[in-house]
Amino acid sequence: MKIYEFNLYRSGSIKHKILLSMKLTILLLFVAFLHVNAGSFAQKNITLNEKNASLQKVLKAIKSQSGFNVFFIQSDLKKSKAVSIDVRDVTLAEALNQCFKDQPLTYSIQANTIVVKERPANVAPANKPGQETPVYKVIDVIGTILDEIGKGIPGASIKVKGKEQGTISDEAGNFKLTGLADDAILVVSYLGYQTKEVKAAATLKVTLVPQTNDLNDVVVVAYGTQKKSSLTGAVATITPKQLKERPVTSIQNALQGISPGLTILQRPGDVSASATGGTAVNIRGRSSLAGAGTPLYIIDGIPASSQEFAILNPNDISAMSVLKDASSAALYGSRAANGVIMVTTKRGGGDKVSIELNANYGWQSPTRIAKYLGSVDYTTLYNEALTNVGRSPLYTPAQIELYRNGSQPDLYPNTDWYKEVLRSSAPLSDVNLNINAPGKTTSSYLGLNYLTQESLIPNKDQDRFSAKLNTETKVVENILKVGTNISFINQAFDRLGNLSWTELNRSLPTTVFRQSNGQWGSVNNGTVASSSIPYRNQARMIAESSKGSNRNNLLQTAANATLTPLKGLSINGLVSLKFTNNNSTAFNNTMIPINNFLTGNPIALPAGNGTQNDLREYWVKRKELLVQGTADYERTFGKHYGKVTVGASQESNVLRSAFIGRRNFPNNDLSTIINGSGNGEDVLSDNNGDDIIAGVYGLANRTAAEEWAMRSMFGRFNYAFDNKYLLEVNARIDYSSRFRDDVRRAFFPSFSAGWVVSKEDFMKNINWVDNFKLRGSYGSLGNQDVVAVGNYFNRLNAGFQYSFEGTAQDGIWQADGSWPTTTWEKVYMTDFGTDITLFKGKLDITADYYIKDTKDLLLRNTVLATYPLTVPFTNSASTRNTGFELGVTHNNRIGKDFTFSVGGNLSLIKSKITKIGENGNDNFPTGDANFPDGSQIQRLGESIGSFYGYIADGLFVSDQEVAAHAFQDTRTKAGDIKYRDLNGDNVINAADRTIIGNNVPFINYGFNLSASYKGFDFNILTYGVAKVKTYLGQEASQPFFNGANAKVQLLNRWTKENPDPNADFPRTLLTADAGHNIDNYSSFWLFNGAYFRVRGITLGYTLPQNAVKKIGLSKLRIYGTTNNPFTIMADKRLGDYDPESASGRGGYPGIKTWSFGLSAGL
Amino acid sequence: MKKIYIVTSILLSTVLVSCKKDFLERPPLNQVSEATFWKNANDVYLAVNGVYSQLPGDDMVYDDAAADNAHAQYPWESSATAVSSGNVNSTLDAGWGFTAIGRANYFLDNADKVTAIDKTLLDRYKAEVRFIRANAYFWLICKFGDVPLQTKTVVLGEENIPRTPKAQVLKFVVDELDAIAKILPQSYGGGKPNEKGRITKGAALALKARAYLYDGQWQLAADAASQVMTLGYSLFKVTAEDALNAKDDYSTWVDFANADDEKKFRLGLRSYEALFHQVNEGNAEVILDRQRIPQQDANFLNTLLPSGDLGGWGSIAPTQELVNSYPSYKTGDLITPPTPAQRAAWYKAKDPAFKNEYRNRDPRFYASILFDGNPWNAIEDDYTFKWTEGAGNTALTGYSVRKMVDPKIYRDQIDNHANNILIRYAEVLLTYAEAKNELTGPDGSVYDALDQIRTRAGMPVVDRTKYATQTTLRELIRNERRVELAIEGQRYMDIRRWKIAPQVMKSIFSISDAVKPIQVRTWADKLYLMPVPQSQMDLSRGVLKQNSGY
Repeated sequence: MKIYEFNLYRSGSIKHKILLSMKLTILLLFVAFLHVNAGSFAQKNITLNEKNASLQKVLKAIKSQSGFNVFFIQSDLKKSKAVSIDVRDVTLAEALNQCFKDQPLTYSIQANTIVVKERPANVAPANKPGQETPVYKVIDVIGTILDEIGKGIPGASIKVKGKEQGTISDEAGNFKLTGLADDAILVVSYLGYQTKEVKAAATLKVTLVPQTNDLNDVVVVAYGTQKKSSLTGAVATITPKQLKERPVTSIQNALQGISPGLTILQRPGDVSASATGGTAVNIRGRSSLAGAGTPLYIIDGIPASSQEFAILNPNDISAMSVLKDASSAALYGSRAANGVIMVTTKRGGGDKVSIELNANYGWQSPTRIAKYLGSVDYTTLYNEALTNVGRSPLYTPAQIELYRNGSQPDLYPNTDWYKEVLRSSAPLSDVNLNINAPGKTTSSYLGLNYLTQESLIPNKDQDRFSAKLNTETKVVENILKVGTNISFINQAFDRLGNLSWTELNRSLPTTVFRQSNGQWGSVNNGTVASSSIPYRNQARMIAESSKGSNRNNLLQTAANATLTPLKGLSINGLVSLKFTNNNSTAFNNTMIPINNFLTGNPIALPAGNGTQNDLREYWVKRKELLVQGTADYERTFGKHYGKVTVGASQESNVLRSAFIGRRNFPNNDLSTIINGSGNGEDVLSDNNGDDIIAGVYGLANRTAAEEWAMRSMFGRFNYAFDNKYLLEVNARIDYSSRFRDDVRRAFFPSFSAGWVVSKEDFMKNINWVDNFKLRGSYGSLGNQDVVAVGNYFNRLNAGFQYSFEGTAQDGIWQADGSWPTTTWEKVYMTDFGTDITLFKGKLDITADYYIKDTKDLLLRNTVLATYPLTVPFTNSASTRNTGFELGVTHNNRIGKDFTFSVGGNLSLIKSKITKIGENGNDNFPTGDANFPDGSQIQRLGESIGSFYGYIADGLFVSDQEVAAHAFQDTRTKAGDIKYRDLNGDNVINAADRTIIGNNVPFINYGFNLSASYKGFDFNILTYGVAKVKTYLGQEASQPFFNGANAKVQLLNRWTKENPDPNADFPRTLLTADAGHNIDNYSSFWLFNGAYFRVRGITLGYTLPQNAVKKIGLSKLRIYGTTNNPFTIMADKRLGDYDPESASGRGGYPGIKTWSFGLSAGL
Repeated sequence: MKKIYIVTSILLSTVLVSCKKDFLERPPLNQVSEATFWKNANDVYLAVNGVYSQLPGDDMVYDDAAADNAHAQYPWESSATAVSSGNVNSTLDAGWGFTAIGRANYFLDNADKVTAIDKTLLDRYKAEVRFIRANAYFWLICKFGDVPLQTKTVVLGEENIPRTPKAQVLKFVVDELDAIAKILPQSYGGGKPNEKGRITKGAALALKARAYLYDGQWQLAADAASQVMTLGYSLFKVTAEDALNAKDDYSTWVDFANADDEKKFRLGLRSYEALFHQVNEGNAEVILDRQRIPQQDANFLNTLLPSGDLGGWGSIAPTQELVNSYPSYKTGDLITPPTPAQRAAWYKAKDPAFKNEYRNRDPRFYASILFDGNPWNAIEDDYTFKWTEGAGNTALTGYSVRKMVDPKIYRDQIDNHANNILIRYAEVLLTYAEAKNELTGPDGSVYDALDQIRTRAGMPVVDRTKYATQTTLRELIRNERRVELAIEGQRYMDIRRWKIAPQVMKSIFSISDAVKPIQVRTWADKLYLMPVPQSQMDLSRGVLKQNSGY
């Protein structure tokens, strides 16, 4: 009875719904009839001559002659009898009548489809005693489940609402249900698609819509889920389909351009144990002045490292959300200052076991590679650099001629070191197998992945195996559910040698790579004057110097339970244990000296290289334990809807590392320390800081450890009135071990509200608006991750300090400053946004404007050298980011087969420092690879990432001009940079510096297009930044830096012959002579960092069902894809520089990939 | 339903069990808590070691390259390239640093917390630390003039301290050295905590002598030096050559009068050269050295000084002017070198006359400078230096440094771990000679001091009649100081305090080219002091005042 009451109560809205769906149905039918008519006119007569042929064969012939589709259920057809028929030019109906004459089957023609079904039994289902006589007719239903491009969906579930009865669609998407009430409602569902309810009818064509644009789609939010329509925060969602179509090795790359305000810098990706490489993910710009501003990653409710996120297999993901504003992220308060990326992985579901195999194979090649001068240009330019400062040229015309004619390659070669040392491409392959197994009580999902990747550096590769097993068990139906998440990742990295990019850049074209006798090159410019030059050869170093490996394992086990004792109440518990075990080794070989080609004698090995072999080994163990409990209660009272969530969690993270090292192994093939020398002096320490724990190095045979913990309580209240007015209140209290107990607690409240304008009466008649929502939020978030563990303790370092009498002596010293009252960094964010869906879902618009105030910023201020310790983190600055984000998507269909979706997104971010230092004094950030120390300033009122230096007004064209200009430097001559005398005192000094640019892009944008036509699908993603400057120093802007060659773009320099004031580079000088051009940071060295890049293109083809069926598959798609194929850069001076690399120094190049793959379903 | 309760209670108990009270107390585990330190005598011992690590090391070789003795070709290695070129502005950081001072202050502020220690030993430890602090301040005033004087630990937020006048800092330095000289022992018996190599009374007095000498306080300088001269130090000498050294043939370079003459020459050369070698660490000439051990704490001299042919970088190259300053082996007087044009012409023409200027020179020349044809079997069998112009990692001047390169360690193919000598007796003798000559003019004690140095090097003693006046002797002393202490970092201040920098800081040339300099050098009087780095000026917002000219 209750149910009836409920229905009665809501009858108004139901009526409205029915009306709407009727209208829609009429519209759909109308469209369908148009098609039928078109089909009828195309009818042809039939000619057949078959003896004892199978019905299937005959129908096939009819199909091809008539152009009609034939629809049948395979099992039905098995009951058919053989057909003998001989007709000539008869109508379709006549031919069919003959075929079905004695069959247990019958047919009907609907639209242009011949539908074959069982001959109906003439008996209605018997009424059971005590049951009312049904007021409905009994019908049989046959139908097809289609996807958004009109292709049959196999394995979709069709259930009769409120009944046990149901079935699943066959390989072609067809299904049949018999004996249904004619008012029965069918519930059609399939993983990744919106569930649809349709009224039973004799024939049905149900088109499912992917979950992308569904307003009733459920979105993963902090500690729960929410309907997309009731969201009041700025949340971007990413569907698995979007991810799946971009076969990339890292999920971060797959995120690119999907949501405005989400910035992914894809820094060069060598295979390395830190799988994130240099990829930087950032939500809504930099607001922190310390730390990268990495978002918090939550995988299945469990905080994860960016590395874990990076190696997540895209195929395992069922949903992903990006929480951008304070309100949506508030429940992760303490660590959500930089936004949250939430991922839910698949767990078993659906009605049928499904197996999917995805495999791809590709090649990586550099987007751009350093191009250094050949011998002729090198020697000529070097001579020019010398003569420019009045020195005599080094290379004689005769030598240059020898380089030009190449007649003596053993003495005067022209070596292209990048070509000799690096590979031009390296393969990459990725295989996934997913098994989705639903069960009566336990459903499970198993995802397996195997990835192999080679590096452009020879003999360097990685293998990665990962497995994920998720289960869900109904312990007590509708009351208690328990689940597990188990993942295991094993990564193996192996390398020979350890390429040094600096040494590679310093390898000169005038040095022989290999002599004609096959030995490693020893000659440079005709002589063997240096013993170190031959040892620079990186190809030899890779082949002979060392080997190394990393073996990283991650095991995560998690168990969760959901108890729903009462309707609307659910109690959830989660325990997660993550265990990491990493091991890395580095073995330095003893080496054979290189022979001097001219004398034949060996050249002594440089000190400390290759005379004694040694092995260094690191072990890392990390244990992360999370315990969490939440309770939800939701109720609906009439038009009122309310939901309360409360919860608590605590987390601990314990890390321990060990290092051991030995020298003097019997040979180079050994790989364990036990084989090393027993002599105590051969115990080896490390001084490279390779330990996972920062600042730990130098002691042989050591362990080190680091711990932190957090405890939190949180709550959320949602209220909605009539689904029109939405309100959300969040609060979280956090305690962090990184702060002293009296300043440990932090409270983060937030509020948000939404108004679904499109549901108002006055919008009722505007039917091109499907959804129009306004939302606003305000809240606070926190940040603590950047703070060094122990920041509030007065601590002393211990370790080797000095030696007396030939013996190493330990010492104790103070190196790190402490600050006891350092506490949480707080973010206060205000967000106004709107979500609009127009024209029956054809156009989606999301726009947000926000103000993000970061206060009590955790920062190591730069302080005067008179404070001699590492500056502790203090809460000493504030910033304000204001931003605007816009995302527009248009989905449409042209004709029957062509569907497409075009999208664009734009993000504008402006940052401002609103408080800095003790008295508002400038801070000068240090220690960033993107810019030299002292070239940037953090100044009150200015943007984050501001460059500080002189304004360059091009280059001097004559010495007279130098003399007439404000005094710069005694070395300044024609061809040098002209600095602007800002204060007009006729001398260029520190007082003439100003802010000259910014390295945080103001504009980020991207366009996406995906389209499909019949079996083909096409997808293109782009990304661009504008209004940004890049600083390039060292090799990228200075010829012959630190003994290196010069890059080819440096040829576009100022010369006496062509005194162009706007030449790309000043007159050529050696670094030692060029201090006046390079030591003064000036706008001359700021390059326009704007670029536009095609991030990915995918073209796929899904084979037709009937072809695939023959090989026993349900689905087969083949595709080709490319990542980073094209890039347009604004500044041609950047030459060989990939815009996403961290700095212009030589390093692993940016990578583009070309790959092809297949995905098959079973 | 039973199951539900079981699962729920398991979950709840897990939550409760992990709710320990000290769950959020996670102290740093890789460092020592200050609260548990400063308890016993060993704590003090360890903390003293932490300050010792702040003694300077091999960087002093660059100070000669910032002056006229040498050329530092790589601007990224040190400030010497910029300083010697004269193109110095406030972007240059010539070493404005307070780490040693901060560590010493921290020690001195806390050491008294320890009561369980012998008071005399604690005072000695403190005296050692005070020496390191005084040494650091002395170095800073030499470079920058006025510097912030801070004798207590600086609290964050109070680091913006104005510069204290140089005279006041100097007074602090010499007062400290005076005070600790009374506490420090003359020598150490060895073994913990009396290890050899610790700072001695001699070191304090010798540094005081240097400080007064630099300041032109001749009487005080001479007094301090004479005090050191009573402490038993002597110049290092060898009495025989080993087999490898014996293979070096100098007869082509020196016209020996007889076998005894040759022996005197060779032993002089070996004595001077071996003084710096690892095998002779801690010899009687050493007053203070920075201790080194193999592998773990080596110096870079075997890498910085030699050129690429010996696997080095050729970072520091002797100038022709330094070469010219080595006197004649025969007379002890300066020689007349060929004109640069003549030298270059001979070099280019491979004329044997080119080598004439390297003949019959001070043994220290052969021990200190690698010139075309200098033999050195100790480093590699049959090694003879050959300059290859323009080859990678090759000195630009045509010469390479041999002094302080340890050939035995080179043969071991590990990094140089000879202790870096910071103060040696020869300097004290030269200080005495200079101060005394300035004070009173030549007297016997001045000649005696100089003769000790000359004799050790195998050179003839000073001709007392030829150098009889204060002026002529001054020139000899200055040249002797240049030669004896070449590449040891003294030249930087010497040319400044003698006010000869404007004359000597001239463009330098290689042996192959007399017209086109390898480094253009200009002098401006602002270069007497280095600029306060611009980064510091920016941060101090007017509290720090810049030196004039920057």
